[in-house]
Amino acid sequence: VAVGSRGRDELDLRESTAGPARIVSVAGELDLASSPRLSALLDRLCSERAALVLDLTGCTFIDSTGLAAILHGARPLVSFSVVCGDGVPGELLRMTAIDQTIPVYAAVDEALTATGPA
Amino acid sequence: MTDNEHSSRGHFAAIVESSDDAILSWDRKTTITTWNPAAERLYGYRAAEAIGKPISILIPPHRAGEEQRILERVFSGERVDHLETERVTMGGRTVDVSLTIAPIREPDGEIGGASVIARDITERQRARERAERLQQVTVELAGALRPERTVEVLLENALPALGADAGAVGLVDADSEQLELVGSVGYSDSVAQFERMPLDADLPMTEAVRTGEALWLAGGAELRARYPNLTDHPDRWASLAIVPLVAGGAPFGAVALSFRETREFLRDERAFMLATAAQAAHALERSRLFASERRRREQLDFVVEASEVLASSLDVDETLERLAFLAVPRIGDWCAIDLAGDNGGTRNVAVAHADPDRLALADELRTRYPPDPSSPRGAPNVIRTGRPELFSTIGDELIVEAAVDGEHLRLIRELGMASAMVVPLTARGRTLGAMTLVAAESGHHYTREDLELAQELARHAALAVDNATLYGREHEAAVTLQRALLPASLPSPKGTDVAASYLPAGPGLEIGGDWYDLVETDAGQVAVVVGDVAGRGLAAATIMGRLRTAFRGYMLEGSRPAAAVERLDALMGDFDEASMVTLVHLSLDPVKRRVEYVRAGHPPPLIRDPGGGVRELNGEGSPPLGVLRDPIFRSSSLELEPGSLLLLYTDGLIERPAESIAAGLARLRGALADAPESAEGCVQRVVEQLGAEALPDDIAVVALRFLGV
Repeated sequence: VAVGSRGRDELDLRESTAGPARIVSVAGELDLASSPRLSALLDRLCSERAALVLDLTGCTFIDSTGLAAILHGARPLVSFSVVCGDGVPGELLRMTAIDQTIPVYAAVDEALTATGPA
Repeated sequence: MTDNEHSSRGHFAAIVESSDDAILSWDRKTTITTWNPAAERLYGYRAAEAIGKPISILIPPHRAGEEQRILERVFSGERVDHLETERVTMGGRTVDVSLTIAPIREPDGEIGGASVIARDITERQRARERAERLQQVTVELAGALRPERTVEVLLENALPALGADAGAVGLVDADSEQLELVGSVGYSDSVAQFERMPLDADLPMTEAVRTGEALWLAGGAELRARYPNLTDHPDRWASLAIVPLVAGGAPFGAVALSFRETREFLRDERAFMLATAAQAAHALERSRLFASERRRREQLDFVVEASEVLASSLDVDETLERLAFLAVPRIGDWCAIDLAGDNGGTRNVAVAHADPDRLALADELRTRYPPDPSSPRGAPNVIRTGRPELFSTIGDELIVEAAVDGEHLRLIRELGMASAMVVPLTARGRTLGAMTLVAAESGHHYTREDLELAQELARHAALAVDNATLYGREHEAAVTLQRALLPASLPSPKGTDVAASYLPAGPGLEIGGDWYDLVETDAGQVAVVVGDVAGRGLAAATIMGRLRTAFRGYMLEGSRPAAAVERLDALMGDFDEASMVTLVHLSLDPVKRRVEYVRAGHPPPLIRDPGGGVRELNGEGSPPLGVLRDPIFRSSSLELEPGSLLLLYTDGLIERPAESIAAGLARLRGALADAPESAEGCVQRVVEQLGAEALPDDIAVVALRFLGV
């Protein structure tokens, strides 16, 4: 349960649409201070029943509350996948074995192709 | 001489006689030969007194050389037109004149003297001077940002322009409803009695401010009839001119000019005064806006700085002490802070004084004479009502009335109390206490603006206090809970050497949800868990408590590791509050020298071989608990040689800002490789080496060294 390195909200969230799928791009630090915003966004998207791709490429830090926000948010979704590179988010997803439960891709295109016809 | 000539001369003489211009003549020797009635009015000499005298009697000494130049021109046959110069009267007064001088030719053609037409241009000259002065005032005031300078410029210029003997400027003090003299020249010491005039006083300056109209009082009798208050005043002025200073349609002060002589005020003089006063009023308004803007900026900076200072402590008494020292001397010479106590009483928590030597005095006053809880004013009343009180001016009579006894009175008088304000400390609708600010030595009189600043400061302080109180309660409860939930001491199962440590997050931070536990089952197995509940504070600590208790039960029952973790995940599904847990759980069979473990969303435990090599036990990774619908938890196992050491920990030990998990793990591996042999030594070493630079997060560490049986 770590607080972000600076203990304040350093998160940038962006939403976009690709066919039937919604893409949420997360940049900055996803921690105790900022994860409630991601939770709120995922809650809202749940009701849209869209396939969701969570792009963590720009994310520099995730703590356990951030991880909890992702997992709790993903649970009710029909289709959920994560995109991340070699940085901290990818490491964390592997370490926590979440990559064995949730599909993880290296690029948004890959995730969209795997999710279904765009 | 013909009749015609006679008649013409008579006609001419009549014109000269009745002219408004002074007309005179002088002969070859510059002796005055003719002198009309206008010349008498201008110069004071009667015809009989002037005729036969040299023209030089009219020339002031500093213009003596002028006569010669005029003579030279006249005797060379030239006219001198509209020469503006000065002449002196019989009474010695200097008058400004415009002269037209023409040579008089004798019948033989010789120049035998000159005729002079003199026009009094004193008033014209004055008017021109006033116009120049007005221009100068405008220029000087344009650069004046300090109100003192504006008042100076106004008086410096208005007095000579109207020939006044004394002058003063008064400005309205909105809080006390008084007109305060901010500058005066030429008055005797008795002007002191007018230093602060109540706005409703029956005086010329206050009337001008009330009505916004200028007053031109030409005679002493008129003046005293209209203002009986001035009758016995030692400066018996004959005439007064009072012009209000107006900004945005509202009079906020007045300039007064006093004259010893009875005099009328010419239209031109009035216009000058009105214009000058308008210029000064603009300048004063500008300085006021400038000063208030600067003050607002300074105050904003102060409040921002203060709120940072206040928010940096989570201790109530310390916060209030900081508040008292922030307020002094910035907004008070001394300050006392009282908190609401039991039964409507108050509890003094802080006193500060600008003068350290007098702090004891202020302290003594507050402790020996605490405010009467039933008092209709002061801290008890402000705490009761939540409304601030402002005492702009505190007279001695009020102090005498408020004093409980002679000693109390002595203390208050010694400390001084010229002005005071009491503001509530209110947070979330509740008044926690009150701050009393007193101006003494500074002689400052608090205004509405001061009160606003004090209230702003009090609001920030109250929030800080409220936070500190809340934090104090929650922090205490969470720490108590967590301490109570962690094992007071670990068992020492046969064939093992165990040690554990829990480090709460740094001071000022909420408690986390890390836990560890170690049990020895009836079957002789050693079960260990290190877990981490996502989140903070009482909520996380409470969840941790429930999980720990449940998991301890599963371990004691001898559940296989994967089964125990699965049961815990199922239990979490029943919780009202969504949460997430990561953990490492292992079970050691000392006889079989075998370890079975589950790593659920958690950083890998480390193993140090008897040879000193350190590796990560990644095994079959499992997901965190409490977040997935049907998670599968897999266990891994390994053989354990005697002398091997297992290290379990929470992520606080390895996470660093802007660093990969791999780097954090590498550092921990290094620390463990170099750590002492014993479990206790290892725990101490890794905590020392990695805990110091950790993020503000809590950390749990458990070391288990297998000795063999």
